[in-house]
Amino acid sequence: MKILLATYWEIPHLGGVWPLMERLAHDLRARGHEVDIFGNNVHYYHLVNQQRRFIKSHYSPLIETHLNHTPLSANAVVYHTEVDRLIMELTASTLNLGQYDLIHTHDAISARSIARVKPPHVPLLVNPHGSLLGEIKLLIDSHALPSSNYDLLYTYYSSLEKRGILSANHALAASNWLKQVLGQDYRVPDTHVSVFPYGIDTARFHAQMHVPNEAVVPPYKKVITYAGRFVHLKGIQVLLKALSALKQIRQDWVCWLIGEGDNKSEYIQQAESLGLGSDVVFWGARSDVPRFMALTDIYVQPSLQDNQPLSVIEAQVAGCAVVVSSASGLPEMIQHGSTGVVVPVNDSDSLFRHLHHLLQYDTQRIQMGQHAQHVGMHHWSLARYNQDMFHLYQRVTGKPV
Amino acid sequence: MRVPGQLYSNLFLTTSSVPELLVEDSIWNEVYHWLPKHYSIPDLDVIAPVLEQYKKQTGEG
Repeated sequence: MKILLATYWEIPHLGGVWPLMERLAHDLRARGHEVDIFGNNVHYYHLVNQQRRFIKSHYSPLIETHLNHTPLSANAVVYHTEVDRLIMELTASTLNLGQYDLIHTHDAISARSIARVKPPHVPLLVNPHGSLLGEIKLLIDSHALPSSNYDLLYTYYSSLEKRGILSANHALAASNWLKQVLGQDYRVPDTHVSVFPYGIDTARFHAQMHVPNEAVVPPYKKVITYAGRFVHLKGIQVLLKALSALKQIRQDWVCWLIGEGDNKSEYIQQAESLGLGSDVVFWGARSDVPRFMALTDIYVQPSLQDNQPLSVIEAQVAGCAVVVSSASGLPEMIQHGSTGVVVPVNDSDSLFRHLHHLLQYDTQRIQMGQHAQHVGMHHWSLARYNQDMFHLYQRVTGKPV
Repeated sequence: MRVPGQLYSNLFLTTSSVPELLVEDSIWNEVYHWLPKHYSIPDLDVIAPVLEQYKKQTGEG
């Protein structure tokens, strides 16, 4: 088959959807399929594997002269997103989309764009990796968006996500939570959405765990880690509050925060003002996360909203005790009390108490991590994920994969 | 070659605010060749609720 993997998000990227797309492309090629990857960049759209670029400024002036006097321009985020998305439509159309046996988009925005320009006979699979509307809600609530008209913004993303999901022949979600959200927000029929969890190359991950880096565990300390984006919805502010309380009663830990994001300087300030200056280490974005996980005792995912973060999967495969919030798809990743702990979302006190407990009882913490690893080795395996994905491809295309 | 953007006006449902705009014909001819017959900008299905809300907010059409 000839398959197009596409996304509206910027690629290549250290985290996010890129590693998943790259690995899927690799595994499909290994089975003899041809794969192209199409995605976004600040200045162009591109077919990454062919290094073929479509410069946005060649398309945007004509589009803008037709939209800049419409109500869309009343909201800068809506206007610029819509112009950018329309450029994706125009550039994607020139890829000769009729040549593909399947188009697999990794977000609702690109699904809508591709659906508008593809020939009807080419099947389209949409694979959102989170709730776009949910993220917009949280961004609005946290006043992180430069907009004075949040109602228009909310209506726009709601309409765009709904059309993106429903424009596709079929949808894929990694969690039952996301399937439920799509059903509730947009009345997407149950039969339109398949659900199976992500998978990672566990053997490769384990090998990377043994590659040393400069990280050293301080003597007599246990390591609490978070890895991911530094944005409001990841709830790092909740973790820092919990650590502040933890420090009052014990100092046998250090917290490693790995990643980058718009809120990083805010979190550095928060850590300092809570007196956590030397207890929290900001490592920045890293490509050697497996090594950090190897040195981690407790992994924390304190998100306010999250679908199925890769870092929680990696922490389980590494054998860490994992604490997640009860947000969105996170509880589906944990058997509470057995492979990890689920704490109420946005509840720093509960998080503090569970961290204290896990630090206090070594045997329980170590057994929890071992059990998570044992279960995770199959549940999060790449072989299982690929089998599920190829089965779905076959179902959507009617062709053998 | 730079040509008037107006040559491609049938791709759009709205008028141009800069009718004298020049665009590269090789870029737009290729787009024009590949787009489906009934394709148009804007995407009315997506923006209809936005226009409706704007109308409610401002009383404008």
